[in-house]
Amino acid sequence: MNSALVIIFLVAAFSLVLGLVARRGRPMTLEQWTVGGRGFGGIIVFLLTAGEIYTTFTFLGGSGYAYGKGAAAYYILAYGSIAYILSYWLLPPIWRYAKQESLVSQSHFFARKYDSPMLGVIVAVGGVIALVPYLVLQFKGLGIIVSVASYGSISPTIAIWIGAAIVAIYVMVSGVRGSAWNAAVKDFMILAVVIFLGVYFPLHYYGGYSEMFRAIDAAKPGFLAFKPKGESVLWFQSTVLLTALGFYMWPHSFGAAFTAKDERAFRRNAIILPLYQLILLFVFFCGFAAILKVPGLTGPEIDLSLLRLSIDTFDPWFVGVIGAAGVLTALVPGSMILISAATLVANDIFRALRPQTSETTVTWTARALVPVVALVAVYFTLQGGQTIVNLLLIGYAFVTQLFPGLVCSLMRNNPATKYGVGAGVLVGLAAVVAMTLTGSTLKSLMPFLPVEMGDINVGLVALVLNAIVTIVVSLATRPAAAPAPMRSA
Amino acid sequence: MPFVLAWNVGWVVVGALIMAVIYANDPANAKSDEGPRR
Repeated sequence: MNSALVIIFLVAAFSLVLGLVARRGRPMTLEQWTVGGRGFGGIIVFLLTAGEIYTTFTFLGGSGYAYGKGAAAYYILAYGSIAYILSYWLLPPIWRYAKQESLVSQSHFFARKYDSPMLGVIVAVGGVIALVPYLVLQFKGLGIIVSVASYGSISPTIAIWIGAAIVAIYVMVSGVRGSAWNAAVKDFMILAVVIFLGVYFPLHYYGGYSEMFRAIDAAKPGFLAFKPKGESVLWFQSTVLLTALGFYMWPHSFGAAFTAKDERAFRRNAIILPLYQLILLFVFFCGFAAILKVPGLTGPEIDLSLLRLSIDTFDPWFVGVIGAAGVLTALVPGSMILISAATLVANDIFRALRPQTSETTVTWTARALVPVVALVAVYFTLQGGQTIVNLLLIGYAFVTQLFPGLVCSLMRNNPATKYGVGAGVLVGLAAVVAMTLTGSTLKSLMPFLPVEMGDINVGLVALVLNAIVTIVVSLATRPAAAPAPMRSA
Repeated sequence: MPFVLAWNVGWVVVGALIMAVIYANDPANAKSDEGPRR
């Protein structure tokens, strides 16, 4: 066993112990398990929310996208900033309503807002579908990190199984508290590693940032600007819009908002988080530095660029430190996703269909579902061949379909009905599935449009369809006399 | 740094500054010490 592998295993074991200790004798009610008893202060909420930026997606996917796609990677920086700005106004009313009604999940929120358990079930099913690719990408990243950092001595498959087992165990025992404690360690490690690598690689290999960008531009002219076709400006704009609107629509991000002790934490974070994510620049620099030093990676292999360059540059023990940080970026978000998916199935699908189920049974069902969800994700991880960024974009296309219904529910006079929102979400989800499976674009569906329109993100096309259906069905189903008032925050 | 990336970074910084001004002038932040608003 090489030193890299020893360090990775020590950190993974530490993560498991920390996750188990986090419970500290608390009785694990559903509220404790999923939202930490709603008692987290600003720093923990910050870490849980910021943890959304620094996942495997950023660490490997962000650097890989910069390596393989160039300017297209900038969308990651743009959408987070816009999402955080939106959160200033979006999260406080969600938090107030959730606290007032003691809600623990996103679909619970929709069901209560629209007085429709069935809408809650639709939201829960959509949420679980969207979470699977997100969990798959965390496990995929985990497999890559351990396999590459172990110099091939451990296969990605074994790494994925071990990682999934660690997360499943501490999530079953400690719930979101385990994630919160690990989030603190993870953010510290990943920031230190990413900043170091983002400074070291350009200086070591090129002598500076300007020299690095000049060398890339000379070798691959136009690579650092948007392409005229494919990942074009229109692709960038539509993807940033889709992902910014969908940022807090993820069940686990929505759920993380419930953990706050007060709403001011969200407004403070809306200032700090955009600046905090400027650290993404260092991730991009790692990917850019790898372009000329480890050339030839294509397709899903682009996600390997940062680790390949690290192996070419450092001693095994330091590769182990980098790998360990990477393992945490998969385990912590993976645990949040597992909690959300298990809660969705237990509390929002199972309980919605059997309302007489007790709180204790739901809690135990959710905890028992954790390994089941993990197994499903492991299955898809071992099947897939998508890049990490593409997996996330598929998930975003699904989850953003909840945005119109959410925004309407926060209005004083909700213009949407439960039928309108339900129909809109179903049409949006169906459109994403159809366009993803058939590889359709807006241009192929409407050939009379200009060629550039084909670059618009299909999730945004589905969102527009969703909004139209929501409006039309809401108008058709709104009671003629004295419209029923919808609850608002 | 490539222009497009620098442009993005510039907007992130400006966006955070604007949010800081909004936060400082938002009466809700002064009130929230007394508990969440209804």
